[in-house]
Amino acid sequence: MNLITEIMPSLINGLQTTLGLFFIIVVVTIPLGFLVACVRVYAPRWITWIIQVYIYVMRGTPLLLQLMVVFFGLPLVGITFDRFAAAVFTFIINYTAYYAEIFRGGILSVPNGQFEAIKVLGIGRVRGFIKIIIPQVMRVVLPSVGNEVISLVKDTSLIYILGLGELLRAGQIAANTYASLVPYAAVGIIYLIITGLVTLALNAIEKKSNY
Amino acid sequence: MGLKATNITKQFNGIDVIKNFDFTIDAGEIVTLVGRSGTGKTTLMRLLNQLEKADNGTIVIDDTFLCKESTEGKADYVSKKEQKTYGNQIGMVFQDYQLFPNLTVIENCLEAPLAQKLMTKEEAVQKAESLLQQMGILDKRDVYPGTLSGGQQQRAAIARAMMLNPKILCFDEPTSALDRDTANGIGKMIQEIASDGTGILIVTHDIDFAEQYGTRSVSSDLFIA
Repeated sequence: MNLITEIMPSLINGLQTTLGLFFIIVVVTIPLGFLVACVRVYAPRWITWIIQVYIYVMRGTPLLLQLMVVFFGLPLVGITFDRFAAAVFTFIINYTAYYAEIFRGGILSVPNGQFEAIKVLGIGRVRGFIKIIIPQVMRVVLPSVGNEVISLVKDTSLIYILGLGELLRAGQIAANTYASLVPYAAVGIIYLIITGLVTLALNAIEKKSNY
Repeated sequence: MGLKATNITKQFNGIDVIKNFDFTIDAGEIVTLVGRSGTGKTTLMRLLNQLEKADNGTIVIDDTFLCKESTEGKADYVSKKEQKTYGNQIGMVFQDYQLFPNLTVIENCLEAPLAQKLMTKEEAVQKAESLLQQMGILDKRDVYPGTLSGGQQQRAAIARAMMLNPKILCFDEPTSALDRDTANGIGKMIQEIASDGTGILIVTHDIDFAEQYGTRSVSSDLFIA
């Protein structure tokens, strides 16, 4: 028990970095992913090709590698990030790609007749999209979005590669210092608590978007 | 008075689906459009409802044009704003209704007039309630379409289309998913709407239904004369 109280401050320190990254990425990438999906579905062919290549690269290479390229590789061409900014940037471009594909599936799942009904009734494309199409898309994509959000909680641990002290790294240091597995167990429990809270939040949102 | 379409031509991939076809729907008549699958019945209805563009021809409801035949033998469409005016003169009930599943029945009805700012909210609610009453589904005003039966969805879709007071109302295969009794209910409903002076167009495979409720029948065999 003593050990736990002793390691807690450093774990909480790591947790702050983890949660900070998590919230920034969730708030930025979900709307951004939706935007990219809309462009992918509605833009001219050549733009969709560019987006396809972007998505292919983001999904086709490990996030860990992307982190290294951004932080260690981009300075070679004169683009320098500090550690946390590099992490934020990489997670944004990576997660946006996944969300874009999820939202694209959601948009395509809405029957064409819905768009035609909007047109025939003279509702207007923008209003129709916001009031009628988006709610239907949300309902379809929520389970997949939830999966990604939970993945994100755990993926944040990858930023140790940039020397950032996130939760798992804090646990690892504590485990080495005290030659004990208890810090790992504590870290595991903290992750479970976070994903548990995220799951509850997602369930509440899903319930609300039901019709 | 009513809808007049003259010299309508529509090709898909260079093949004529409709060629130099003349067609009218007068106020208060129920025109049924019958014929084999793939002969362009639904295409004609979609042309009238702006879901496809005619290659040639003139389409007008009373004095409101959608397109005019030009001297080069092309359909010249009027401006977007005028197209919208035309669009409100004609309504359509889709084969699978296409009610908005995330809106309640009454919200489905309110959406178009409110989006187009044609009525105040109070006026729209009043009109929607009286239409739902006429359709016999006023008790369903606050439920989502997913909980309705096929016949009830059909009625909700009719009410939604009637909100804009169209002079012409089109039905794409209105009875295809309904049992005979429910279909007869819809047929009587359509007759009632026509008796108030609305011109009706029904695309259907259901010859019995067409004979029983139509006042005039047009065969899609005439599309390519």
